[in-house]
Amino acid sequence: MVFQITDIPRILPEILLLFLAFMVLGSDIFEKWGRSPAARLERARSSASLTTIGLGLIFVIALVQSGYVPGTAVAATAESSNPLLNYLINIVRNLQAGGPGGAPIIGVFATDHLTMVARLMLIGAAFLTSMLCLDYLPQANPAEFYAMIIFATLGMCLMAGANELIIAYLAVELTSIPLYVLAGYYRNDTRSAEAGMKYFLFGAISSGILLYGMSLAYGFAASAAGGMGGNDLTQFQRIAELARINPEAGTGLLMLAMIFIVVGMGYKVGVVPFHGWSPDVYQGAPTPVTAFISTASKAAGFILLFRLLTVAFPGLTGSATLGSELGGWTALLALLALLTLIIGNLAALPQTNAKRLLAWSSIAHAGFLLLGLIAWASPHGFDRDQGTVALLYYLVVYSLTNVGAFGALAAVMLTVGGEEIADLNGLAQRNLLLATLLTLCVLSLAGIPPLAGFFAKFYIFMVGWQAGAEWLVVVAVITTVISLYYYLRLLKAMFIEAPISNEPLRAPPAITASVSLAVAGLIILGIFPNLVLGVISRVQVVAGL
Amino acid sequence: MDTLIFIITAAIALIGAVAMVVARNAIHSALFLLLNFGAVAVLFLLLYSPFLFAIQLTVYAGAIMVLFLFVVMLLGAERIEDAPDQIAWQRPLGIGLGVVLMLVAMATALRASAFAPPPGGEALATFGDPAALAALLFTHYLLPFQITGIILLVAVIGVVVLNQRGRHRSEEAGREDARTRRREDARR
Repeated sequence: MVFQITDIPRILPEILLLFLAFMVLGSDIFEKWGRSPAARLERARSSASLTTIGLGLIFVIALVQSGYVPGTAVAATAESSNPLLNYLINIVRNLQAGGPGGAPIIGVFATDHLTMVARLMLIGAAFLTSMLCLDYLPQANPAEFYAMIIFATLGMCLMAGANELIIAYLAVELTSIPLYVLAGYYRNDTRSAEAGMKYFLFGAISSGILLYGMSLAYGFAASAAGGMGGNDLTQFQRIAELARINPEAGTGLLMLAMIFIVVGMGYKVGVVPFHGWSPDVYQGAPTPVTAFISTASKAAGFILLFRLLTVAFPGLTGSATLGSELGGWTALLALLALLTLIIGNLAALPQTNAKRLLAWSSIAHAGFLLLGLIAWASPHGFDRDQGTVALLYYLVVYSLTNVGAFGALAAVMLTVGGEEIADLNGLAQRNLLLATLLTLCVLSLAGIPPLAGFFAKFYIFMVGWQAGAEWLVVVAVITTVISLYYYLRLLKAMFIEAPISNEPLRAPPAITASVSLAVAGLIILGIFPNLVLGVISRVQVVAGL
Repeated sequence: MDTLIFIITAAIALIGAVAMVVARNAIHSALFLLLNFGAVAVLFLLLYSPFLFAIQLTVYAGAIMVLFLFVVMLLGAERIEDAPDQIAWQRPLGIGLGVVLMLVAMATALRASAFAPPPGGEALATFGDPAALAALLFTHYLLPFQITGIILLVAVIGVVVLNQRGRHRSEEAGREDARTRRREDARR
């Protein structure tokens, strides 16, 4: 298989992201590089606006290309007498020619519904993050800062579509390296430098572990193919196929490969016991970057993990039902989920720093997300599909909520000057809008109806229960109740505690807009979950399954 | 003939490696490493990998070696100070572990299966041929090849960004101001 010219529209969003990154880097050269504060502000602002507008446009293009918005899907024969309209119809038709479906490009990069949904989610998260940065305005090397965000988004989109080990690994690296730089961006701030260093060291080790697992999987495929293999031995389906044909060829080796891969990806998505880096990194990184790391990078990690486990290792699915023989990756993930839920939620209780508290909460949410993968323990195709849908719905909702919550914290950090819970004291009296937005995000994280967080949690508990992991769902429900305590501590600080000063706060406009967008999404998705569920339920056709 | 060349180059490679470790002068060390690289390159040629041979010479013996020498001369670290080892047990432990590694490697190499023909039969005649490699890189491995290029670019940008030292003090000072302000607020 070779790369065809018709494959270019299929990876158009990725190509556009690359171009946008180059544009942001290149346009900075034509700015005025003055030393005065006004000139530096101007330079930072132009990079920020270019990134935000560009990401918004790419989001719209990806949305049109996917054809998910009702009424935008153009039939192959559609025509209009109006020449201008006809022109538009042709553009959209050409775009949608690269829409979901088709065999993976060169057999390695899938553009199925999963990739499409993931792209929208990841580019959307990057868009909201760059809106947060419009107020945060890092002034040292602004163009590089925004280019790093775009490069990381590109890596995440590639992670979501990777259907082969080499691409998967390179995409993980392309995502991680910009995030290391972004986490340590305020180099003279000790916390930020610490965050960058820690993230880098943990990330390097986890990449090594992941690569080791991948090399074992490749070794299995090459020896099972007995030297007859071509260049397709790294493809996920091929590994699964070889494992099916030669059941005796080395299940132990494949199991070892699977464990290494789960551990390597476990570091990237931050599940216990591979979470050690995340509280420090989340706390030290610039707050918009924290929002980005905790949502988009985690979502991309989960999608890659989903694709790897379900497409490459279907023979090792095993079972997570207590009492039956535990085994395979569902049992392994169930164990990780158990640890993550308990430790994540309990460790969040005594935190005094709001950012750190949200960091532990996002570790706990990784535990809930694992339930969506554990749904594959069920032998029924229907339950498995429900698991996929629940996982994606949870990811969408979680991304919106966490961008909102960290965004609101960024506003507090900018105006009050700190991120301790004590800094939230009396926020409702000082700026009611900001307090309301943060409250809605926190309530959605806690899973209070009618916000989307409730439905996401409910759905994921349901699929976990049907898959036979009842014991895990019970633990998850109990830890959800525990989590209410620390979420309500934030609300208590905002609404009950006396403010430090009565001076009203002026919330930064772009952050408010970004957080408002996220919260509007939460409310709409909470009341009308069918708006996205209809789209997400198409994801059941995953390439190679 | 092959065996003769192998024995000579292997001996040179070994001498170069050992001499690199024992040499007291950093420049001498670097030059011995160069000798080792050259010998290993010839070994690649013996294994019918002309491309690896060329890469070994241009990248390792050429670019990386120059970088080493450059750094050594820049730091003025040609001579190792004759200070006693800070950690006394480091040397015996290192020698011990090295011996263990060598024994394991020899045991693996001398196992009977090591002499069996490779499972897939003899390699193709074009194996390791630069043209075949390039054709693969630009067809089947096009996407990974391009992504690797982007990763290298990102790494370069990252190094440039993180290496800026103290030039943008005012911004971090602003953050620090916010911290002190908050502390004062808390005190009140």
